[in-house]
Amino acid sequence: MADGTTDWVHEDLGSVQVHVLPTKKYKMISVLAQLERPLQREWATVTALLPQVLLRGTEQHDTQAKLMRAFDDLYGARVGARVNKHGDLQTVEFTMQAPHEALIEGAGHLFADAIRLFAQTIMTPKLENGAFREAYVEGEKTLLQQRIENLVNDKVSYASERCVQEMCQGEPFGLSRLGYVEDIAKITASSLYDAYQRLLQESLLHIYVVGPVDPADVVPVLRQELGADATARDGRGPSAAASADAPDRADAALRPPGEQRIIVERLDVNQGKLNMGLRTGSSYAADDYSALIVYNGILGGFPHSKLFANVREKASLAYYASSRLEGLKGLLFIQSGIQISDYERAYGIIGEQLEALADGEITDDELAFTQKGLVNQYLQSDDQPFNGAVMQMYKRFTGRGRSVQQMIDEVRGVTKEDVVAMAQTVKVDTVYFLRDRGM
Amino acid sequence: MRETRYERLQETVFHERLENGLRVYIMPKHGYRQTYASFTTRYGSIDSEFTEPEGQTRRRVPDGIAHFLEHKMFEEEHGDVFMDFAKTGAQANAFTTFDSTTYLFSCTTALEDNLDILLNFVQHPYFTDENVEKEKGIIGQEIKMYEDNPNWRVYFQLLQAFYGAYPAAVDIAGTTHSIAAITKEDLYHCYRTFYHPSNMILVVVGDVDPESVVQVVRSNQESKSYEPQAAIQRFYPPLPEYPGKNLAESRLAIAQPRVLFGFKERRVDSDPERRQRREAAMELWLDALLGHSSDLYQALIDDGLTDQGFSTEYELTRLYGHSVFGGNSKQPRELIDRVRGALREFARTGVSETDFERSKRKAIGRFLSLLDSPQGIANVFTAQKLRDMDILAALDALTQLDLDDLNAVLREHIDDTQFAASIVWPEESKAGADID
Repeated sequence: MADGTTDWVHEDLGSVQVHVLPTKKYKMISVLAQLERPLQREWATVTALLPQVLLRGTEQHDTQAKLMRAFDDLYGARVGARVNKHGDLQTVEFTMQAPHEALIEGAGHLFADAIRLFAQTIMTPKLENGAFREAYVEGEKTLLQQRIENLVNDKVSYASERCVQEMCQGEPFGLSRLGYVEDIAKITASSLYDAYQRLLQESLLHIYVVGPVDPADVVPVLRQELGADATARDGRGPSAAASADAPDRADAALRPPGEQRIIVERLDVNQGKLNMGLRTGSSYAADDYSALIVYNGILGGFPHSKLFANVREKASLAYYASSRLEGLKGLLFIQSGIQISDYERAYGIIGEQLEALADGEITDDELAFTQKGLVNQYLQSDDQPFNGAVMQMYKRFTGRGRSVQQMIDEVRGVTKEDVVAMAQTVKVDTVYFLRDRGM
Repeated sequence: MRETRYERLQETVFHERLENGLRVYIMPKHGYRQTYASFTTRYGSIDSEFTEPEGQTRRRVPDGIAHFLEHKMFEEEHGDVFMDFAKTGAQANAFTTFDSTTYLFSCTTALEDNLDILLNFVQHPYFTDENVEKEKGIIGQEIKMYEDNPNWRVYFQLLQAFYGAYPAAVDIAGTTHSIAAITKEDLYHCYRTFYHPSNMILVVVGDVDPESVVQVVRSNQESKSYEPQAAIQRFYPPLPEYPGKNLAESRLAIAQPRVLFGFKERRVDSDPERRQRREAAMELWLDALLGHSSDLYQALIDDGLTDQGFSTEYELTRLYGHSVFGGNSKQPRELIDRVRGALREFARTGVSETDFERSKRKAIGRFLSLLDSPQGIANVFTAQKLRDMDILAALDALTQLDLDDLNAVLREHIDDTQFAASIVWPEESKAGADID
């Protein structure tokens, strides 16, 4: 290709899987390393704590300040670590971006040094008596507790998160990716270290590298830094781990279908947040997933969508009114910010939009605009260095691989009838309203 | 069309000033699927008093009107402009800042059509009494959303402490009260004054042929008759010499106090190049002394005074400037005291050579990362152009910076008479939510 993109180069280092996409499109080289495990209450909190403790220091750079300075010295190689939720999996993700050394005079082997430091951050943490250093663990426990407590501060995301929790109570997806305050106290330096070891045993470590880079320069460094451990682990593989512990689909259906639950929560807020959680008959793994994507697009994915047009533009009830899809789970969420006294009206108008879709009230423009908008989004996603990595992750998680081009072709092939058929499977499960304390 | 080549960055910017005064900048990005285009007027929330070039009437307009105008531009006689973009699949949006209003789209196809849509809707106002009234409900909800947001609250509270009644402290969206007074006539006055092509910039970033892009823009503009416009007179009160307040506080339903503090500039240099050098120096010492690899940051974390969200920033416009530090803190007053004490000490000792070199390298790398985002580079490029600066030259300002200059800027900035702080506390005695 004109931008010098070749194709993914995969290197199997046993329990470490390296994937490199060389491209001259970017000035930065982006790296994503990812470990995964089933999302379970007893492991959620300890797993959430892990990435932050690893950023506290390595054998070679044993304090956080020293480690961060080592990255900064490499022209500000930006390192990050976080815990994430993908469907029923909890992932630990490390990222790094470092500038292409050819752009900087005297930068030397900048990237080789950066990826070595990155690998050390994940694999050779600072230890004390065969466990993590206690002071680091205690410090990060306090910070994790604060991070969880602070989730209430941003009311838009708080309302979304609460809606998910209420709707998926008892399901893995209903668990918080950051874990639980009451589970923090019992974590010790050695129990955390055990969890770390167990995660490395049970999960493959996938490392994605995208940018102006030659695989021949990356792989040897990673082999050197990670290769020794690689054979020692059983590398059972994440999908196996996930399916072994995954709950039955039947366990998840806690309430009879069709019964709506309404949750009203009160805080000192100026604006009400009306959110809804809906279950659908499809998900990423299914053949008809593209119909669900188009359904969501017509309902609330765009400024031309029914929710924006009716709740905001026609009724002037909200600044934001939209819907989003949790593709891996096939769940759909609606969110809006409204005047508290407008609850009934907004609820009514949202319900009318859902009914309209089920009744086939979809104009040719709505369908065409949504398909074009989706195609535009998929093409644009190719400008994100980690997009290819996410698609590979989804393939591992669901057994279903889709390229950007396949997504585009599938979305283009969706008919109005497909959308209406999908609409028949969509059911409101939970209504969540965040409001003032009032009377 | 002229071209400026930035050899070290391996980037080129093509530019042209059209006859009607519109400045067009095109930055080709090889291999990108999307093209990002933004059309910006040098008109923001601080511009509430001005003389209309035509007729020379001096006007004072309600707070929040630049943002209100931004919303209303999306409505045309034939309907909603979002629908026009939707026909091509493009994603459109707009935002208002203190000193600019930007309309934008990103697309992967039909670039020419989208450019025409963008230029045409921004150059065609359509305001009626009804559509102005209707928008008040939507913007009212936008204001309420921000009222509940602690980051927004603590930030504007700090600006109010710094600037009092000066326009930089006015909320960009105004208040429900101020927007209630807006009429369609007000909107037309503002539109006629600030949306003349000579006050605007068009930036296009993507895998494009610069000549054909400028051709589309040129022929679009030539089809419209713009008379040359006299310079816009803008009136601002004098920059307050000292902060109006040293501490501003309020309460919200949050878990932990949120705190921001910093120093305002007593005066601002009128020379853009000197401003750019000052910006580079400020950003470097903020990183060296308060960044996440600094000893001070580490001590604040170890002593439980803040968390990983602790950050710093420096804002310098044509008119005003200030530094901002802070984040979440269970003991905001202690955090303020610790950082102020340390900064006083640093003002005496200065930044060390090692820290200076490290922060400089880091700034170079971070600058390069900006170039990988079409949207990021277009937005920063525009903001800097409107302040008469060239962002792509920032790397030179950075590499040429010397430690003595940096320490001089540091000493000058840490001025206790320019200090102010803002704290948002959690609501008292109402811990936790009630679930019905």
